[in-house]
Amino acid sequence: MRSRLLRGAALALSLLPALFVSSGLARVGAPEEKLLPLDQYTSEKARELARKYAEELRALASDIYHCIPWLEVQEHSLGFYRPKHLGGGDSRYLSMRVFIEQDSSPDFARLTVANQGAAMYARYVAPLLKRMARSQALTADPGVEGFTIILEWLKQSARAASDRPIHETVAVFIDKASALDFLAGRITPRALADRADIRLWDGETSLQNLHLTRISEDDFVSTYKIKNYQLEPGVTCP
Amino acid sequence: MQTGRLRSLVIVAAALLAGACASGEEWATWKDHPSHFASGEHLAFSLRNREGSPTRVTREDIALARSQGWWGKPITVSTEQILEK
Repeated sequence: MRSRLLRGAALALSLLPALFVSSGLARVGAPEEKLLPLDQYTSEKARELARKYAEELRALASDIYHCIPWLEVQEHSLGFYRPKHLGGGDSRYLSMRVFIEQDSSPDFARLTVANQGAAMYARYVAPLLKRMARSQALTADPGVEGFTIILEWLKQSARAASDRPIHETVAVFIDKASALDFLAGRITPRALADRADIRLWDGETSLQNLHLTRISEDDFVSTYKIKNYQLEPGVTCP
Repeated sequence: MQTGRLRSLVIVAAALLAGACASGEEWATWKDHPSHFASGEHLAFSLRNREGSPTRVTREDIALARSQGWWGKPITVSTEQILEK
């Protein structure tokens, strides 16, 4: 009896770490969860791109996860999607949707939604585009025709605790030629914004397309460090 | 002898479970104060070493905070409205 109890206790103890792992502790940031699964693509062209560049996509997800920890690449949002507004054809853009943990800020809250979108554009589009275009093979692939970056953040407004939160969203579509011109320094951030298609939403409501008249300089992504944040062993950030 | 080992195992298991419960309690405290997550240093939260020693924040801490469904299901444009798979 005692011996069975002892064996049972030993087994329970040995399973504890596995229980913690399987309960999600080890999976919360798994890059695989960020990628659109192959069986969800609606075209063979997109599926083939996803298969071919799976490692690059995982590396991108992992890089953002560790190195820009206040961003959350949303589940299944990373992949070769087709921007709907492009109409006919199967134009595939490397796409990603991220949620931004935005600090509460009266200054930010006072901005119009358009100006908030412009601020987010200035802060995140260039750093994310650089990461998305890091693979030369991917950017040189004729099947990849551009990049889509969707940024969303919690709308700062007074609301009851029971109210559902509202997100504001900006979607940026950049054709590949413009992206490569920008990344090579041939065009300015302002010129990139002129050539990009930038769309805004307040919650589920579509607003006007965003035309940026000026791009503020913002080096937040490269300079901000979360206090006491510790990278996992073996992880390095460029 | 066997009783002693059994007792030791039970004590270790209880200690581990107590650790997990303490963590759950911390989360409950956080949920009572959601503004912590959206204000100033909201990502530098004190999940560990709250008293005395410096706070350490790992990426897992941040991801777990989000996985708790902190803000509830948001009202936002769906990806399907913007992109096609």
